[in-house]
Amino acid sequence: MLNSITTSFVSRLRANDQAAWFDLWQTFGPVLRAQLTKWGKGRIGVETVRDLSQETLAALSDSIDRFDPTRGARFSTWLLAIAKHVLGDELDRRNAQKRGGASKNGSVGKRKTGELDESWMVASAAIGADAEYEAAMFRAKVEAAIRMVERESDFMDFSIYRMRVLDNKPGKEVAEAMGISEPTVSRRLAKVRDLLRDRLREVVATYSFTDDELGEAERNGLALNPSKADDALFDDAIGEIYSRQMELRRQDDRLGA
Amino acid sequence: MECCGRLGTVSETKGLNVGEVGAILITVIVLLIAVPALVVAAIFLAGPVFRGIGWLIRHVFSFIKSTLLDLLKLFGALLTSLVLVPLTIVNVLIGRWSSSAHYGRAIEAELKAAVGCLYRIVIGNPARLLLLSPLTEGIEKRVPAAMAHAPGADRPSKRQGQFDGYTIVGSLPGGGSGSRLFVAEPTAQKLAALARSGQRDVDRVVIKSFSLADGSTLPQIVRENRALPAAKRLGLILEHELTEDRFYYVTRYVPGESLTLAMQRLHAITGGSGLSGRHLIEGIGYAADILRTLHTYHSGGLWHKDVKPDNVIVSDGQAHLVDFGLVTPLRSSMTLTTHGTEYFRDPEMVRMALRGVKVHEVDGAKFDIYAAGAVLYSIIENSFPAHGGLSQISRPCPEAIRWIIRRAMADYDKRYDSVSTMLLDLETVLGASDPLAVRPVDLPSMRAGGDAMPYVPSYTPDLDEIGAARVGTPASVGPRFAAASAAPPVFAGATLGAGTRPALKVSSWWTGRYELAPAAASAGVAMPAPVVAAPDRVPGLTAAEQLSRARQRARDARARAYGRLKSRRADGPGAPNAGVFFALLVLVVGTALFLLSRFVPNVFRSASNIAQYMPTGVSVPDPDSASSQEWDSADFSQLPITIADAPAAPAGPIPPPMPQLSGAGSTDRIAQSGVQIDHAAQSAIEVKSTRPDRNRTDRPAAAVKGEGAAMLPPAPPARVFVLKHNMTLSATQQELIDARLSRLSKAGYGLIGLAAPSPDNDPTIVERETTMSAELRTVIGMSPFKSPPAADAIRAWLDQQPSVDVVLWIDQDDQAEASMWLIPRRDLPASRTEALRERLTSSRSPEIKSKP
Repeated sequence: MLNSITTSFVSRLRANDQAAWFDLWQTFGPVLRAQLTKWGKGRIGVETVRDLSQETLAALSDSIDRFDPTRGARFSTWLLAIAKHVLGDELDRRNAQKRGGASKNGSVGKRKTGELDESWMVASAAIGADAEYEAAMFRAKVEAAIRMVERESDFMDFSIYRMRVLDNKPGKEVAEAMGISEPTVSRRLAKVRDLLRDRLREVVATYSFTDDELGEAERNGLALNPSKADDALFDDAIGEIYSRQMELRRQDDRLGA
Repeated sequence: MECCGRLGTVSETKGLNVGEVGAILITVIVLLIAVPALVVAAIFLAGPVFRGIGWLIRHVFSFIKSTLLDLLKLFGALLTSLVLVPLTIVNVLIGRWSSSAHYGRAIEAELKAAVGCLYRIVIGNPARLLLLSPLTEGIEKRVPAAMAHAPGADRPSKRQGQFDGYTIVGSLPGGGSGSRLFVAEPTAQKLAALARSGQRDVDRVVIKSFSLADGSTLPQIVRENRALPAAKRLGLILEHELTEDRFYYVTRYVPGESLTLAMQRLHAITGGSGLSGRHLIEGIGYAADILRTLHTYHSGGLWHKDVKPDNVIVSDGQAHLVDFGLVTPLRSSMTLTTHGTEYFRDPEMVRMALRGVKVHEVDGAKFDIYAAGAVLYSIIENSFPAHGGLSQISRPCPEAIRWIIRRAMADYDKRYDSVSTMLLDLETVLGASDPLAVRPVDLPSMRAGGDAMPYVPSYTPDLDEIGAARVGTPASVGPRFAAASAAPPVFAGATLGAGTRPALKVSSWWTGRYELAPAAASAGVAMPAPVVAAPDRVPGLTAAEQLSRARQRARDARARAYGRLKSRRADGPGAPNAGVFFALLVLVVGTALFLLSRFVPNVFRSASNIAQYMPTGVSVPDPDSASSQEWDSADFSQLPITIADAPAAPAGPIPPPMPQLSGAGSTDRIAQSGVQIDHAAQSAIEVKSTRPDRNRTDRPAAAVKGEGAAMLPPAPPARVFVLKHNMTLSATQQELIDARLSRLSKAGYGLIGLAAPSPDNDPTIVERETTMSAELRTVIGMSPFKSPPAADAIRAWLDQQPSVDVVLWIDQDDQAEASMWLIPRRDLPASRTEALRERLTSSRSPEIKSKP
């Protein structure tokens, strides 16, 4: 069942809110590109992957009005199915071109290009989202939360958090570099951490359609309602996720370079 | 006895058994010890031995593999050069010197790579395996990249006309603004005019030209034009002009390489492990140079908007910001646009532009600061910051630099408020004895609590520097500043406090033209003062001293001008290079070979044939010198009967065959070779030798006839197979040949072959002769006729033909004239071949010449 945040987000998308679409693109673009590249198995080039990832969002905008959240599809499956549809369309078009059978309006076979198969809207394992994809989707959500925290928090506080957690520097070294005491470092870290938990909860809620998705954070070591003992684990998990997400970004950059 | 005997036998048997048992035991013990020992030894040694063998195999295969790879690379580089050579030649031919120089440089690079491969192959350095990918590795990128970066035409189009006061000397690759970039040299009058306006030492300029006739659009022109008056006041551009159909502006030309290339070079030196030591200082210094230039912009109320490594030229250890295509007044009332370069453009600016925010509603300088931070990131990382503020800095660098980059690329409201603050931070790192030890807390912006610190350059300039600084061009922003404390600012706009914007009054909303607000002008803080040349006279000096100084300045100026002239052609974009010379050499050699093959068709064939001639030792008496002479070939008895075709010449009477003569070896026989027959206009056939030493025209014809007739050797007739090669004979030539052949026939020689005169056309004979001709041509195959393999093949064929003694081959000689060659059987006596030759050559006796 959708929560109010998700419903609000979908409403924004339906209202063609450019900022909502931009956020969606910024957050999940690299994951979609990585997945399309993986599916393409070398048959589609870098530029095509980028075009297809944009077309995925375009197809999403076409079908968003018909989206029924009560049918139980996950958010990640939602994106994945549309990406798969777009990629299948592209491959069909290419095959038809090879055979010379494409009609004027680009229709291939019985299905017309752009006519979305909406069976994905029902919860189903047939879509074939693997664990790697799901993990990448979750990392993208965490990155979006970090980005929000970076915007909202004090520059000094976030810089300390970045050095300590994201760059994995010892607290003492951070304190020396910033000319503050270690307790101050801890205090500022806690401030950012709390904000990050809030934003993470918000992001996960925004981009989750099912209860299973809502519980992803806890399953990945990110206790959103933690005790003090969980702080270290939370920071470690954030550092690890950030590092892996940056690796994905680097791969994405290499695609675009 | 028997018992004893048996006992003895038993004891013997027992003794043998004991011995055998002992031996067996010993053997078993030895085996029990040896086998495990051997097994252990084998196990112990097997590893190293196999590892050694494996290492040896790997080593050998590594060598083979590397050699093959280098070979492929070599061929790949040569192929690329072959692709580029025609491009170079075409550009030379159409007068695009800069483009030809560009392609020449590409060829040069390819040839260098090829030489490197050749060196590794010859020296035996290892390379890699049998992969074919190196053959094409990079070709698909190198050639398009070279073509994409090629400059345009070296001259403006006729529709566009020339630029007054400038001589175009080259061009630069155009950017994405629809403009064309020319490199030009100012004329003397223009130089004087520029000097009067304070622009000194202008060597070369870049003219950025927009022409409606050449496809530029009005919005492009408007966009480029709107900030130029202010840019000219700041000295960033030299001049600009806007007419009905054309717009251009002139800036100083800064030769050098882009910051991208400079950084790639620096990182390559450090092996990709990040900048350190002087390389780190050099890179940070470039960033500081950019910030100083940006300070000039912002102080003058301008916003560059397109700061990126490709727009930074590194020359003489200093970075110069170029490209004014997107320069925008900070106070412009226009809506923000998304122009700029991805990764160096603040994403927040894009969002604002999408929201329709006006330029004057935001601080455009902050977007330049973001770009400067991104450039600093690319200097450190040798890459672009793809994730904005979240971009990871993985290379080692001072923590303070990380802080500066983060601060510059932070969100709009958290980043540095002015470039001066950022520059102070950078200079603190630059001025530290150990930059790696500088902590964020040591930076001035941290100590002062942020952004209120003005930019304070730390050196005291002399008068010339003041002049240069006031000019404020990117190429003359002055020396680097050493530390963050010291002298007062000298830039015209440097007295601005951080975050202070000039108070301007926009006079044209369309173009963005503005004027200095009176209040600000009186305060002297908003706009830089108009460009004023540095004073040449120093108060307090006598007239003589001032005159002396003036002369010294004139001498210095002459020396500088001489130096510029000296290096002008060497570093220009259109300067020829080794690649161009190589391409031209290919063109010249190719043309020469083509002409030779076209107009001197036998030049190659002659050379090959000459190489195939071998001394034979066959001695033939020389009829003229009465001495022996060696034939050129043992394979052919050539009859160089050159039958020249003279259209006006009548087919004169053919003399009757000469009687057979005896006296072989005479010293005065008619020539065996080198005889040429020309039909003279007087209907006579002139006989002369093609060899100079035999062209004895003064010999009495009758004497020659008589002596020659007396010397012809007797010989039994031979069976001659006549074969005419695929050539066209004139009627005269055919008649002469037929006459000689008929004479041979009358002399008793048996002539067969399709070219032989045949009294009857018996189909069976014709078919047989056709078959023989085909066989003969087949055995020769593709070998040149006069080559030893062809001669061997013909002789082998002759051995299988009992009915043929000699092959008479009629073909063209090296001068493309009809000639005859004799190829006798191996066992045919020389005398008979001689007789046949004499019979043929005797037809050109002086008697012929005497005929009318």
